[in-house]
Amino acid sequence: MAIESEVLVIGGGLGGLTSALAAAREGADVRLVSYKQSTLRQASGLVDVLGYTSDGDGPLTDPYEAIPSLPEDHPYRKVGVQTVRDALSLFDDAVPTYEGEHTDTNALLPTHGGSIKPTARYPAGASAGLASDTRDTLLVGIEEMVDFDAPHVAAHLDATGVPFDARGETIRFPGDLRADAKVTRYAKLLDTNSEVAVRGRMVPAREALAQRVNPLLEDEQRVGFPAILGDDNPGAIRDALRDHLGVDVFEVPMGPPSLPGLRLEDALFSALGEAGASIETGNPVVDFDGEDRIEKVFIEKNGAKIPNSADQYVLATGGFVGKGVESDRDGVYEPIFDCHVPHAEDRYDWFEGELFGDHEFARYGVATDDDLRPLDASEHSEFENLRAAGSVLGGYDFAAEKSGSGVSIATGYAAGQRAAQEAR
Amino acid sequence: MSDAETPPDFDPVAPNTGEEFEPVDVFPDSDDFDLRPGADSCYKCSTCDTNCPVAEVDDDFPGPKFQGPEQWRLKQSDDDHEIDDSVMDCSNCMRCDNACPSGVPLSQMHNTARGEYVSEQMDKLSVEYIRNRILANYRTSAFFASKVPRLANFAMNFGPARWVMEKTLGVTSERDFPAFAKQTFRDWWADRGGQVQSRENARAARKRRGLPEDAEKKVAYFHGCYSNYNTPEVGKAMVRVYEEFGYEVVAPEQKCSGTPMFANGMLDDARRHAETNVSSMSELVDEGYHAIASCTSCSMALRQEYPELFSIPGTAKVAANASPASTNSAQK
Repeated sequence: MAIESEVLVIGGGLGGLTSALAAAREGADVRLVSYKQSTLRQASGLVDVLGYTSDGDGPLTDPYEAIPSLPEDHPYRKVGVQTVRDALSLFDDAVPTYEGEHTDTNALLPTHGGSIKPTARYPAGASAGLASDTRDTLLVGIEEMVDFDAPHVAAHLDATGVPFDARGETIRFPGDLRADAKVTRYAKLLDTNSEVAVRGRMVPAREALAQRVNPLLEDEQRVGFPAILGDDNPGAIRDALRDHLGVDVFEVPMGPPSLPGLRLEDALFSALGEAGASIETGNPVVDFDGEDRIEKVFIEKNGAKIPNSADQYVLATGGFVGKGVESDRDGVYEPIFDCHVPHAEDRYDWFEGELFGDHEFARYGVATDDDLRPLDASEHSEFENLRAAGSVLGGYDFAAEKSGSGVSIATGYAAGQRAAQEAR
Repeated sequence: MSDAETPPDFDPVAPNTGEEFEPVDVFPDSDDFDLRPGADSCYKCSTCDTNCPVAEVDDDFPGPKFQGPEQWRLKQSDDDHEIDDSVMDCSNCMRCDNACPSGVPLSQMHNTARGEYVSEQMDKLSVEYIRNRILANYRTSAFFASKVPRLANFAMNFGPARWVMEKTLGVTSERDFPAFAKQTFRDWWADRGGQVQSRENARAARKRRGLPEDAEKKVAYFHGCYSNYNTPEVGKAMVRVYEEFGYEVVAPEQKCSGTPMFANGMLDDARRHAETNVSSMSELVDEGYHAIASCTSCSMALRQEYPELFSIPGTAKVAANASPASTNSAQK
């Protein structure tokens, strides 16, 4: 007997989660299946919509204004500007710990490399760090965390011409953690505010951290840390540090593994649970039944193939990194349904010679109609009840455009909502 | 020359694989599990590390990415590379398996490394080894304790005895030992009439529910040691729930699932127990039974660890036909 639902979403990243959430809020009986943990845990946790045009113009002030001029095969053009806005509203409602919804204008956030990223939404923990804010800034790095070299980041920020003075200092994290301590180790220590030994005395971790920073603080009005300030209680930790230091505290989003990404994933999974969807993670979808219409998919579990059937399906399995799109010497393909992925025949045309060149492969993914149904090589829809969302889609280069989160949320929303409406 | 340029004398579409071509045997055939190829699937995203409940609290523990792929990579160039003793701090929760976006068999790597560490590097006369061996073979001590549950419960939580255990074996006196039940699950099951009674109950329930009375609804229940000796109420409830839904239950011959043995690197002990479990479970699977376990780690042992660690005939069949008792995969 198959496990049944009205809408089955395959993939547990930003696209899949938004899709399932949109479908569930539309009233559908939704099931989300995800193989392993998604690339969302590797993402910065910043939610961008569009930072640069496909031609590289930017940073853009108003992402919505630029959408109608994007190339026709761009996913934003498929769903339209209003859907992007509606999708962001759903996100704002589901993840109340994010800010940025008060304006259409892109916010400018400092990155852990010291560059500035245009973004539409950001975690509350990053908001005191906005680059448009004129308050002078102290950045504090942790000696063992080589990913965030505070003096270097401060110098880079200066070079971008930010309207404030930035200075970097490096400290040893109190408590003698191992040199390669995980971000979750720092977070846990601060979450629980456990006592750490400082010169033979036991001091609560938050206080001990503030004590290390206090003597370094000159007349800066805010202090930035790498994003390690707690997993469960980041707000309380920032408040405690602010009280000890007497100035605002913010986090600079970091590379993988990323706590802001983890927190965002947790927030979306709990919103999805509250919306009543069923969720299964850990096992891959390996096969399906159906010709013009998908009848059921099979999930492999310890060698058994468990059938799952639904009226409507959403493919949100990710791009090359998430393994929703794969390639070998013979070509580029979508591994579950073998949806057509348009690509150059000669694989030496897939990329450019320069590392940061305009690589074609960055835009590889399934092509869809305006209803987000994947198209075959002759531009007919592959299956009448399958829609695609997120990085599995082609036609855009999220790294260059800074549009990854926005496309996942907008197409996830559209695919989920339409799947739910059709399943009724 | 950059990799991005086509080399002049090499056609990537049709590489030179003429008669002269002999593939290099990087990993020679061996009966042992060789996990080094799997280590190369790791792209070091550290998702496993962020899921590890030990690494977030223990400053001596380097995390699953080191324990698994990094350590196996070190073995790639050096067969004599010694296993780091920190592998003994892994709690074998297997969360890293569920995390890895590249499908690296992390817990299999940990279990194998731990087994190798214990068999080749650990001092068999050390207190740690003796203690771990006793704790890993919980079923044996529980078997004797269950004969005299009141005495055992008193002795195991008797202050002076716990003080001695802490001093000699390093078993903390802060934790209470779980109480042994006055009647084991299996004794209850036998008193109740075993499989014959269950068949009648299931048949009556099917009639009540309007299901075909001769429906093939039957499960083989792996209750595990803890339900048997400590919390038989769990096992009894499991039987009643399944019967209520019309399933006939059998409680086949079984030993320890091996979970505490994997966690302590005692793979030989675990294999002996697994052989019994696989043999009795696979016969029942052949007869149309679906295997269920109320204990999640026992269920993981049947479904994942046996196939990953042992080549016992029938293992794959049992794994494909087993599920945790709380999921509905048995509804076939």
